Amino acid sequence: MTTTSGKSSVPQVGASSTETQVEQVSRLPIMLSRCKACGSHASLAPAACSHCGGQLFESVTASGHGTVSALSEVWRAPDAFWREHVPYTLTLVRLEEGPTLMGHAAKDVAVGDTVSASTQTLGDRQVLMFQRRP
Amino acid sequence: MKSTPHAYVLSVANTSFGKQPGRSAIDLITSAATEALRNSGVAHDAVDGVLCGYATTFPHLMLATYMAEKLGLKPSYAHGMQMGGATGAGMIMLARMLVQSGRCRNVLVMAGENRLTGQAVDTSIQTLAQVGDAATELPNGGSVPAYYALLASAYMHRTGLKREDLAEFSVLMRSYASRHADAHLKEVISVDDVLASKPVATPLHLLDCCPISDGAVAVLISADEGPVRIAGTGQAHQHQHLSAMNDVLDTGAASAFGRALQDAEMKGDEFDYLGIYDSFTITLVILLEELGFAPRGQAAQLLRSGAFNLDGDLPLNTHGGLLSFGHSGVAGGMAHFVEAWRQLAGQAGDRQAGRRRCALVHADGGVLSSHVSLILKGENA
Repeated sequence: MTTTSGKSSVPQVGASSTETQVEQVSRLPIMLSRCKACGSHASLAPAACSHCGGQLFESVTASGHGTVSALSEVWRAPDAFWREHVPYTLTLVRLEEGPTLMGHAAKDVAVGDTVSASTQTLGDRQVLMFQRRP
Repeated sequence: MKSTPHAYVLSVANTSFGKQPGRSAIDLITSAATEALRNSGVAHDAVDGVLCGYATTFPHLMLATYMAEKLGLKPSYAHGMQMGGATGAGMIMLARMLVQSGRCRNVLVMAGENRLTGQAVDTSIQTLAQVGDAATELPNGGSVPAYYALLASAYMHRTGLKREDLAEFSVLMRSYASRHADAHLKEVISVDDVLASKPVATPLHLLDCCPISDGAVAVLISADEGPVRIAGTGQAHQHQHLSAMNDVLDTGAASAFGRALQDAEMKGDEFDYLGIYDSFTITLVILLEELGFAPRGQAAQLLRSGAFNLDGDLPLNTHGGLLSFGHSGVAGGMAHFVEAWRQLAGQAGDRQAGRRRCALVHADGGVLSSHVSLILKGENA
């Protein structure tokens, strides 16, 4: 199987069973595609490897550890759901396996920090939340 | 088909940008296209190519054919294009190829939409946010300003660029727009105004972001000689999603420019005018620096030296750019080309930067995802 849609059977962290479950996509574990030809990892489910063109992938579980390359505190939300949660901090994390992944970051995270992935529930959704590694 | 070595730009036209209440995308495009055709002197039945950019307020399946019918044209080649902010430059590159190949003799290129008054601001923001990955980026509450804010954060960390440096570009663009009757935002602003404007997605504040505008642009590309020649073109597409960008210091801009220089058989030291995409202040700075017009983190120093002024070595976006002339989608990106044409043709009026000989127009679409470079030369210079 080569999918990396991020869906898995891991239980929802912190989600109340009485809430309306609009979007139930589990953010953990982070699944990556590993190219069977060259071993490089991708986070966005490519059909062919950007390094070698290989088309055979295996789905692997990421460690969830990485380094923060960018941070932004978002004040202008795209819709009513996110307006309830401003400001929230977006981040780009370079995972230790190589690829970059977007997620949320805890308030005390700075660019260059090493972080690890967890999840946080916002309303009826679950987001990937990167925290500083102790 | 008889191939021809050169393609020229005979005419350009734009509507006013900003609020155009009651005008549809089709109305706006029709105005610009009619004026460009009239200014070109090309006979109605001599237009054999029509290219039209997408409109988010009118997502039609065959907009080029629609516009051909609307304008009473019967082209032998018509093509709607979607390449985000690089669409306008991409269509001009294609128009030149159609002319050079002999497939077409006169190509009318157009785009426009009522992006400001034709839909809610949230709708615009959500439509544009779809350049984010549906599985891993959009679920975070991302938007185009937020994606560019992340780019800014990464770039500032790597180069030492400061918010004050970015703000200078907003001030310059507004200063130019204040001289242009058709610009959306004309009130002069200061660096302090930019810094004090409300945060959108840090480090980008409101005045680091382009407005959403109504407006349209059209140009006519021909095998017949005209005031401006398209001397070289190039593209690069190294990623689409921000998460797939490998290095913020290598987005594809330099690759596209290198291909355009090779196409034009130039070295890159001949430019005396720049039209560079500026959806956000950070977009303009990253592009200027990756294209090699300033060292990394130093574009603002070049600005402070006066290089981008009308009397400087490299006047930049003298219409006011997306940041102040306005952003009506594909037409917003084409407005840089319109102004470069006017500078090279000596038709920029109060904004004329002396005699200009060689211009670079560079546009990006998505999140610095699709890049197009156009090298233009003034034929009368």
